[in-house]
Amino acid sequence: MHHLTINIFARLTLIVLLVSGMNSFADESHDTMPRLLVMAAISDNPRGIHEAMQPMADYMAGKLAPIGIESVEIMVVDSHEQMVLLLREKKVDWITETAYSAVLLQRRAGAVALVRKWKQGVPEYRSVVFTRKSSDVQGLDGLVNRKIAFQHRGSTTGYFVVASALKSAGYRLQQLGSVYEQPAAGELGYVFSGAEYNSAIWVHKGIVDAGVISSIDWQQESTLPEKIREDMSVIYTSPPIPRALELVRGDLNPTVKAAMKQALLAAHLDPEASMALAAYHGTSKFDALDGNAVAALGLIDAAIMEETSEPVSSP
Amino acid sequence: MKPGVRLNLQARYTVQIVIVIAVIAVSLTLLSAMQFKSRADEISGVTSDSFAVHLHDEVRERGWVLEANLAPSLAIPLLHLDMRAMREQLQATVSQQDVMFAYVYDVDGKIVHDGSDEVSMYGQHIDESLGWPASELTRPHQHMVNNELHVVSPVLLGDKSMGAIAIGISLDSANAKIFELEEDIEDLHAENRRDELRIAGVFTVLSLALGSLFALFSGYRLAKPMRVLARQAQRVGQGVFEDEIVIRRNDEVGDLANSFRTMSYDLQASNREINFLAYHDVLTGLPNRVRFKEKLDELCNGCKEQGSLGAVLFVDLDEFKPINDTLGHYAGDALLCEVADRLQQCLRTPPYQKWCLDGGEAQSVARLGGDEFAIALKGLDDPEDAASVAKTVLAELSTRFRIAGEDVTIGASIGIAICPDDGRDADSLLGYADMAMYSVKRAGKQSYRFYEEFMYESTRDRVHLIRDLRRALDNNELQLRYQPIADSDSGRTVGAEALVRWHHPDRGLMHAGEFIDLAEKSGEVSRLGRWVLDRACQDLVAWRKQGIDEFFVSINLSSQQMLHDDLPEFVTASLEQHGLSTSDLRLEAGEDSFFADDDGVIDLLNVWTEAGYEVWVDQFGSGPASLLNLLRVRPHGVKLSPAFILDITVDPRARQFVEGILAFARMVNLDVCAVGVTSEAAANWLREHGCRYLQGQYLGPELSVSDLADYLEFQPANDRTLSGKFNLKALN
Repeated sequence: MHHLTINIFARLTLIVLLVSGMNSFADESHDTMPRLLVMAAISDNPRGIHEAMQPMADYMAGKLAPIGIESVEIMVVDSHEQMVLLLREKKVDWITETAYSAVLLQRRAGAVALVRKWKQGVPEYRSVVFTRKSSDVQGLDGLVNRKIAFQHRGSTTGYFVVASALKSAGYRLQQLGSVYEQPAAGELGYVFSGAEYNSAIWVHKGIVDAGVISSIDWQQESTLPEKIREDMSVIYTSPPIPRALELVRGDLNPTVKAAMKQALLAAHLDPEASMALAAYHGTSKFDALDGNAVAALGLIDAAIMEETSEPVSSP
Repeated sequence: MKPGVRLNLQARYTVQIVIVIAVIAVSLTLLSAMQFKSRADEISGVTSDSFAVHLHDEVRERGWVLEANLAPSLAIPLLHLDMRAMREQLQATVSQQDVMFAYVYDVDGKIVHDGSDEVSMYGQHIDESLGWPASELTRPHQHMVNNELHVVSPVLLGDKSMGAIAIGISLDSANAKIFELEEDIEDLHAENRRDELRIAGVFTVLSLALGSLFALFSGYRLAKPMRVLARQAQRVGQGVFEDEIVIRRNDEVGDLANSFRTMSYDLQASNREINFLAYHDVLTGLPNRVRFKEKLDELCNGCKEQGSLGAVLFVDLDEFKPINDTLGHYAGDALLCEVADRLQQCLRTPPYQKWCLDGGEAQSVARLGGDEFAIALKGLDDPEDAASVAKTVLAELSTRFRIAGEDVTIGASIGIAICPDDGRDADSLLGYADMAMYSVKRAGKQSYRFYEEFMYESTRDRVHLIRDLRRALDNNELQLRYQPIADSDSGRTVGAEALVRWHHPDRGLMHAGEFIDLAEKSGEVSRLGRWVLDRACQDLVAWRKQGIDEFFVSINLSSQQMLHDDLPEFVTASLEQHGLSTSDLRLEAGEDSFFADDDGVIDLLNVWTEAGYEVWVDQFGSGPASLLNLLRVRPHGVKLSPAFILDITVDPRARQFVEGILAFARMVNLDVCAVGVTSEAAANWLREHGCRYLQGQYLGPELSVSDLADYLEFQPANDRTLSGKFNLKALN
C-alpha cells in the first residue's frame, strides 16, 4: 500500500469531487466480472481489523467462488478521505461503516449500502443527551447559554444526529475554543470532548452542562461507569439510526453485488459463518434496510447537505 | 586397678587415642560450626542490607521511569481535559506492580484525575503529604513516606506548567522480597549448616573409625611385644631361660626387648650362681649338704633299682679347732680347701674312681659344714671297699699339711654307712654314718668304723627322751616330791629337799639323775630349773596357808643352770611374787659344779650368798672337791654324801671319817646335813656328833606336796619331832 502518497492525493481529489457532484459516478457502467474482491475499513489499528475481518473475508471468498471470485483481500485505510479516493479508483469494493460515514461515502464516493449490520448484535441505536440529575437543565431548551459536549465531528450519534436535530429545531450553536469558555448570550455553546467518557466525566464534574452519547455507550460501563450514570438524567433521545452498514462500491459488478447480498443475508443461518460473524464485530446477522433505516439515512444525508452548505468552524 | 575393670595396654591405648580423636573432631566441628555461623550471619547481614539498598534503588529508579513516562503523556490530555486519555495513562501506571496510586492535578493542586473510572477524587486538593504545589514544581521529586515512595513531577507543555502528577509506589513487595531473600539466605544457611554438620558428622565418624582402626593397630603393635615380653617374663620367672626373644625393633620397644634379653641373660647367670651357691660350699666349691643329700637319694634309688651297694663316709677332722684358733680363720679355711683337694685326690686314684658318683670325684665329695666332709660311693662290690677308701683317706689326711708357713698335722674320724644294708635314704644313711663317726670320736679318733645297730639305739633313746622331756615341760608332766629334813637336836622337820620326778609314760618314774644330764645337753635345763623354782614357791605358799611356817625348801641347782646370770633375779622375783623370803629357800649346788675350776660359777655363787640365800654344797666328799673353793665361796653348809652315812653304824673307819668332817665343819663354821640316814642308830650317832640336819629314809620318805602336809600334821605343832621312832638312848 502507498498510504502516505495516497493521503495527499486524496485530499486534493476530495475538493474536486465535492464540486463535481456524486451521482455522476453512480451512473457509470458496471465493472466486468472481478476475480479479486477488496474489503476495506478505516482504522489506525490494522491488526485488529485483520483479526476482525479475515474470517469474514475467507467465508465470503468461499461463498463467492462459484461466481468466479478467487479471493477476498483486506485493506486498512487510515482516513475517510483516502477511503473515498480508493473507492473512486475502484481499489476498494466492500466497506463496513456506521451510518454517518456510510452516508458520506455514498454521497462522496458513490458507495451503495447493501445490508444493515447487526454490529455487536445491535440493529440500530440512538443519540442520548444527558445532564446531571442535580442540574437545572431539564430539556434541550435549558441548554441555551450553556455548554454541551459532543464526541467528535465524525460521530453519528455523538454529534451529528443531535447537532442536526438542534439546528433544525432552531437553536444557535456556538463552538467554544475550550471547555472553559462560555457561550455568547443566546447561543448554545458546544465543545468536542473527543470521547464519550470525557463527555460523561465533564458533565458529571460540572465542567459542561450536557453531554451527547449513543444509546449503546449509555449502557457501556467503560464509557459511562455505573456510578456516574446513576447521577445522570436523559433529556433527549433521537430517532433510531442503523447501527452499521455493509457498503459496496457503486459500480461493483451486479452479479457480485447480488451474490454478496445473498450470502450476507443468509450468513446468520449458515453454521459455517458463525465464527466469521462473531469475529466481525460481534455481528449477529445482516438484514435488508427497512423503511426506518432508509429514512434515518436520508435524514443524515439531508443534514450533511445542510452542513456542507453552512460549514461550521472546527476546533 | 580393680580386677573387674582391668584394661589391657592395647585397649587403654586405643581408648585414649579414640578419645583424643573424638575430642579433636568434635572441637573442629564445633569450631567450624561457630565460624560458619558468624560468617553466615555476617554474609546474610551484608547481603540483605545491600539487597535492600539495591531493591530500594530499583524502586526509586522505577519511580523515575514511571514519572518520565507519565508526566509528558499527560500534557495534552490536561490541556484538552481529556479524561479518557488521563484515565488510560493513569490506569496503565496504576496497573503496574506496586504502584498504589497515580494522580494528575492541576496548577492549583486540585486532582483532575485519580485514575478511577468515576474520578471520585476529582477537585480534591492533593494530599499535603505529597505536598508539592504544581506551580512550584520545576523538576521531579521523590521522597519516602513510611513504606511508600512518592514521586511528584510537573506536567509541562513547553515551559508552561499544566499541572503535576503524583505516583505512589509501595515498598511492600520490595520489602517482602528482602524478607524473602533473608529467609532464602537463612534457609540456604540452614541447609549449608546442615550440609556442614553432615560433612562434619561424616568426618567425625570417619576419623573416629579410621582413628579407632589406627589405634587398634598401633595398640596391637605396641601391646604385642609387651605380651610377648610378659609371657617371656613369666617363663623366666618359672626358671625357663631358653626361649629366644624374637622382637627386633629399632625403637623403645626394641630397647626394652634388648634390656629384657640382657636382663634375662644376667638373671640366668645369677640364677646359675644362686643355684651353685645353693648347692655348693662357697669355700671349697664342693657340693653342700643339700646337694649331697640329693646325690645320696639318687644313689639310694640306684642301689634299690640295680641291687648294688653304696656307701657314705662321714669324715670329721680331728684337731681342727685348735688350728683354727691358733693360726686363725684364714689358715683354717686354707686347711679345709686343702682337705677338700686331698679327698678328691684320693678318689681320683684307681680303683676308687669307678666308685665315684656321676660327675666324678667332684660330685662324690661334699662339705657338710665346719670340719665335716662326706664321701659317697656307688657300685661297690663289698662294704670293705668303703673301708679301703676310708683307710686311704685317713692316710692322706694324716700326712702333714703346710698351711700359712706352718706344718700342720690333723687327723680324721670316719663313720661309714652302707646302702642298702644300713639305710635306704639319704637322711638315714648320713645320720648313721654320723653316728658311726661319733662312735670313732669317742673311741679315740683317727680311725674309721662301720655303722652298727647299737649306735642307732643309744642315739635314738637320747633323741626320744629329749623330745619327751620337752613335751613333759610343755604339758606340766613333771612333779616335785619332797624329802623331809629334820633338825637333829629337836627332831623337828624344819624343811625338805625338792626332788624333781618325771612320770614317763613308757619308762615309769624317772629320777632327776636320769634326765638332768639330758636336759643340760639339750638346753632344757634352764626351763626345768625355773619350773622347779616356781613349783616349790607355789607349794611353800600352799603350806603357809595350812599353817606350816618356818619351813624351807632346798633346791638343787645344776652348774648349767647357774651359768644363766639372770637366775638370781628370777628367783628373787619369784619369791616376791609369792610373798616369800630368801630364808625360805636353800640352794644346793652339786660338788662338781661347785668346785669346777670356773671363776664364773664362783662369782655367781657369791652373788647368791650376798643376796641372802643359804648355799649348800651337795654330795660333799664324793666329787672332785677343792677345799680352796670352800674358802673362796664360803657356803652355808655341806650335805654329806650318803656314801659316808650308810656305813657309819657298821664301819668304825667310816665313823672316824664323818667325825673328822663334822669336826672340820665345826672348825670352819659350816653347817652339816647328813643325807641317807636310814636308821635310828645312825640318826642318834650323827646328832651326838654335832650334825645339825638329818635327811634320809629314817627321817621321812619322798612325799608329794599334799602328803608332806599330812605328814607334818601328825607331828605336834610345838614338837614336830621324830621321837616316836627316835630313841636317843638306844644309840648309847
